[in-house]
Amino acid sequence: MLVRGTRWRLMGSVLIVITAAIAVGTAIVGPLFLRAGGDSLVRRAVATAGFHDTGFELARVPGHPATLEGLAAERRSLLERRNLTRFYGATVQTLSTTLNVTSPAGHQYASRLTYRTGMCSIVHFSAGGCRAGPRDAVVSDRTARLLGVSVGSTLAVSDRDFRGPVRLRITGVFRVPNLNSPYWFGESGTYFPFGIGTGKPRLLLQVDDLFVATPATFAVSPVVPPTYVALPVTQTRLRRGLVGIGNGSALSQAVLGMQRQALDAGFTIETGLPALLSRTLHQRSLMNTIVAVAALQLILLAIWVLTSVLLRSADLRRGELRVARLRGFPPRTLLAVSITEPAVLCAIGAVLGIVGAWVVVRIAASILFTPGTTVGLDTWTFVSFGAVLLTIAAVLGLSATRLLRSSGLGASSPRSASSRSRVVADVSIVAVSVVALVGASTSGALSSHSNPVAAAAPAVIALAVSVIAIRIVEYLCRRLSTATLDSSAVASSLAVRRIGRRPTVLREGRTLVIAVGLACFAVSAWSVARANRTTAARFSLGAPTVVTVTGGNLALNQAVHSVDPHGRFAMAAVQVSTSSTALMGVDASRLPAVATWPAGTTNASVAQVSRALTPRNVVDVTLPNGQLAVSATVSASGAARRDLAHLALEAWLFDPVSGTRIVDLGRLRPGSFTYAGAPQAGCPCRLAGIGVLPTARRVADSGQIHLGLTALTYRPGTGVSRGARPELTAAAWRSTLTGVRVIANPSGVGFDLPMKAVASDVGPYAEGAAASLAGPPPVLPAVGDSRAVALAVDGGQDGTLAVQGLDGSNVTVRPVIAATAVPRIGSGGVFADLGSLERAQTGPTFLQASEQVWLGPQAPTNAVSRLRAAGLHIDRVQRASVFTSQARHTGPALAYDFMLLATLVALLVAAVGTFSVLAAGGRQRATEMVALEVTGVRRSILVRSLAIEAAILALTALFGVAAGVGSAAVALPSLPQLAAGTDAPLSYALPLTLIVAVALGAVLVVALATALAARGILGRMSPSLLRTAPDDVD
Amino acid sequence: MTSIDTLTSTETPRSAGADVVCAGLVHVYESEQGPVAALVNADLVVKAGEMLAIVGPSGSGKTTLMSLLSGLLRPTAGTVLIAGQDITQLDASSLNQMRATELSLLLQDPLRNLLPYATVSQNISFAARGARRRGWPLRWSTPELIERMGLAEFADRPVYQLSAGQQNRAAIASALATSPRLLLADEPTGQLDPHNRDMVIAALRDARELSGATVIVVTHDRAVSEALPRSLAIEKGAIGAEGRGTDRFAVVGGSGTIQLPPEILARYPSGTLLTVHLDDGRIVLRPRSGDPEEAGDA
Repeated sequence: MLVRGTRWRLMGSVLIVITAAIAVGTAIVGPLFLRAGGDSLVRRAVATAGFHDTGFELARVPGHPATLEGLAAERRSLLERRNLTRFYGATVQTLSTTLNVTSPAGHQYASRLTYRTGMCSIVHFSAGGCRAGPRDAVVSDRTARLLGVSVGSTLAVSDRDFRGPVRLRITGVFRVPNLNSPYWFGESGTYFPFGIGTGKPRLLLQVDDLFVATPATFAVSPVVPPTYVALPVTQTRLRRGLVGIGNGSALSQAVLGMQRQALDAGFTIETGLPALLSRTLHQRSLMNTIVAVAALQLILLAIWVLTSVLLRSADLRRGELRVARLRGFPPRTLLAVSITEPAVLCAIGAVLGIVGAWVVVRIAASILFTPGTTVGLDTWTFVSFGAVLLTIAAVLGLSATRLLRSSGLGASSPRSASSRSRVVADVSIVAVSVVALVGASTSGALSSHSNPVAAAAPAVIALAVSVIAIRIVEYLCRRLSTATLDSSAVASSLAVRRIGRRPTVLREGRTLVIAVGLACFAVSAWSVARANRTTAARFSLGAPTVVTVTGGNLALNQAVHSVDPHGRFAMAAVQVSTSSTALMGVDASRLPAVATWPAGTTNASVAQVSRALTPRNVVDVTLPNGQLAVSATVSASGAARRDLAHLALEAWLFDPVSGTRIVDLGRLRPGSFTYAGAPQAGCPCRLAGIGVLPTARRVADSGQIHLGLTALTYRPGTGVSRGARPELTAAAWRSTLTGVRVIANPSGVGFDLPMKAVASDVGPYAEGAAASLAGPPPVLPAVGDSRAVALAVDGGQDGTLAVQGLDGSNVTVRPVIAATAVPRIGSGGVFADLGSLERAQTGPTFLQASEQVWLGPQAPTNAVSRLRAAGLHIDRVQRASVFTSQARHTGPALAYDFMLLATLVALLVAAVGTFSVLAAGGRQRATEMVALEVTGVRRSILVRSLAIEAAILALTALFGVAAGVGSAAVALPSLPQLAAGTDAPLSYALPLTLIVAVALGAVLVVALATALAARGILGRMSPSLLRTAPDDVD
Repeated sequence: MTSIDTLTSTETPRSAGADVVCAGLVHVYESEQGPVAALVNADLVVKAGEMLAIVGPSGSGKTTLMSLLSGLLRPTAGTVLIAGQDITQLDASSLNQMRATELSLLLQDPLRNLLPYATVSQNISFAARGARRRGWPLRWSTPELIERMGLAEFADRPVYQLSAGQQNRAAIASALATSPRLLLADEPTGQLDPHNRDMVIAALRDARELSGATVIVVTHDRAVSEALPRSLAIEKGAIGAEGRGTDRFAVVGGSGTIQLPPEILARYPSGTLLTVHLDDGRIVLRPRSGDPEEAGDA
């Protein structure tokens, strides 16, 4: 009988199952998602972090002697005492000391002697191998070449103070290993300075690579004298996949305890694990707030709809209960009749909800979560499940009570709430929403755990809007129903009368308004957060792709220009970051095509920024390796005429690797001649200046030389000569030596050089060019963030700011455009034109300078390969897409995914609710329509009236769009969109396309629900309906 | 005149029904306008196995009387004895017990008495279940009842698929499923055409024949009342005329009141002063001299 009854009310039964499934499913999905999401966050954080953040490094407190064996014993003891042994894998021990090496040729070098567990089996030997002897060591092939040693050679080494010299025997030569191998824990540079000396010279000559030795070499005295500072360290890596949300906090506490314990015993443990887990747990807490609020909203909506559906179902079962009463069934049977069917349906729904929740979280885990994430139950799952079951039980009880009360044998029908109580409820809702609105706009939605009203603001606002919307539409329909009473528009009149007089369907549309509001809010939050994550990722990089290279900035420029001659996608940049200032030199002309410059970064557009930074007059002669030829007319006066043969024409060339050097172009001769010279190495280089140097010890200090330049050509390796005509103007040159004058002449530029100035510039350290190509202006225009601007205003002179330039010396910049923050270099940083900075450079490029190529969105996929082919050494490629992808899996991002999913389900719930109320009144509606049809109203008019009702309902649902947009406008700026802070200017522009899509979706939902219901109504329309009571069968 | 044969009072039912005695029944409703007397000092005696129609216009109090007889309402004053048991004193459980066994109520609109999705057979079984649980001796099985009520052809069809007449017969069969001693039917022909009305009356007659139960039918349909052997007219909460076949009688009430037939009442409206005296075995009502209708005897 139960099954028959369920089948009889099939649609209502299905709706109960669906809504119960959604309510239970959501109650379970929330905690499941939170737990699995939290687990995913922890696992991802651990998996993507470097060794320093996950493993630990054990060393002796400085000043205390230590041995590798002692460290190993202490490590074992510490792990065992804290039950951490299972978390940590094999140990790698390292022993390292600095030393001086004297090559067989007698040259002194700085280097390092290192032992690391298993290193001899990691490196590949081109000759010999590791030996365990006390004086044995192996070297890299390039170090062997540099030092001129091979297997069997001996080298004298001493400590950095040249004390305790001993001889090491080279037993093997190895190829430089792959430093990206996990063996190096991703920090090879820190501990194993392979290649530290390549490319960039240091004042102190240094061997490229370290020496590798066995502990015996360190341990056996007197091979390594006590004066050597040997640093034994053990590094222990965290085992993969063991740390999750279940044990993260406990592990963090245990590690902190282990650190304290180690310190008490005279050891230090360096690990970033507690901080890493703390950051991750913070992310989780951000996620928790959003997910909890979204889940709660959905649960409440589902319960609301379930209550409505159950009450309607109870109405449909009134007849059964009446028959049972009629036949004298006892109260417990009546209760069973009233509650068994919905309870069974809810139970089925609950089972489906549990299964569905599990499936949803499993699918989410495979798409969103880190591989290896465990989906499991926790206390909150049971609490939430229990709470929803209790709520459903309460709703069942309510519906049963209502059914028992309303199913007397008389003609009573369920009493609806009085209009006064509805007004009180509506006014209360609006009042609460005003409080929520104020809370959201003052303290921010979801920004505080202590402000639940603000946290739930979007839902409460949507609820209030739904209340107001229903009231407005109800009022309008009533007015229209009076106005259209005698109208010829019968369909419209019927539709508005139906809604105005029986607004039950309209009132149920409240859930639809709320769902649409929440959906609009969710898609806005999701879309804005996604856009801001991308912005933050690109802003943190500066461009969609940034390639860190080694090449020297002139080679960098040349490579970039060869790869992208038209400046469409690549830009050279050099970053100099110190503790106090950050300077980014960019090729300003290419900035617009490449840089990520989100709206709000500066008041000016990126094109305006580019124009502001680009120097107006650029005088630049960059020479490749090749010959430089200068055609000049020389004349002398006074004593200078006598010493002309003792003077040479010189060119000052600058390259960022070795700095400035002088190229001899030949002895001066009176008359017009072409002087030529070739730099030995180091180019491409820039022509910095030109001048005359004495070749004799003494020259006359009176008289004057006139040097007229008529041609300046250089011949690159291709053999094609290129001229530099624009530079042969007086404006391009400036005097750099006292007394020297730059003068214009018809054929180019000329210099008057007094012999007094030339005579004073004598000796091996003579560096003074007579004239240099006009460099950058003394104060460079720059873009600076508010901190830089404040420094310039408060601490600088005339609004200027001194920052460390490319060569480490100060350059003066003036922030001409203020930015909220500048891409990549963050707070306190400035952007200036790279070319200007290079021309201001007088020494080799600062070691800390990072050479980069920024690749814009138009960059071809093989851009990095082309840069490599252009001669740049690629150190690192950073892609914003990777950053974005990483941010995609952070707590807030997962939370927004959940919110989006939840609100889509909310739309489904609302659709179910709408359909339920439409379908539940179907028989009554069909009866009314049959009655109308019998009185002569055409069926087409009746169909049209249904369509108009649907349209009114859909329009009402669109009020939700206003609610969602309003909530988003108020709440979005305070939503935690990123796991960590960003300097990037975030945008809260609402995604209009998505909102329109949601609105159309809502209209579609209403259309589908009403179309289905209308189909049922039209299918039922039969004159026999007029004979039977409408409340019995439906 | 209906096509239904009227039962004569001399026919003896095969099984005794319940005596129904109402004495001094008063029922007052509370309405927004104040108390409304729905029944005023109503007396009623129905012998076991009798078929009685209670006739009256809307608002006359007949449905209230039916509700009092079925225990759905408790009277403001007076007693209702069914088979000698005063149901006004019964608690809810005992009333349930009574409804499951001795008393069967048939509501207007057959589908209100049936589970629409269940078959005729299931409906009858469902109705019998309550009586069976309470140990009430059922006098026939479901198939027997179906057979006797002429429903065999439709026994396995859901009742919502049946015609109105078939549904009515199924509802009556369902009401008989508990083997009641008193069958109360509220407007059983309310919305029916003459053909279906006749079918319902026939079914009620069959039911009475089959069960011997006392049958009380509330109706506003004169054809129904005329088809039943006895009818009581109820007007403004008071029981007035009684019909026996084609004969109509005024009924002397407990305090000596009688209700005038409508046509006399139309001539001598409320407030008319009459003299009453016996004249050779006749009761003579004469209006006071000088009154407009003085001209004739009633």
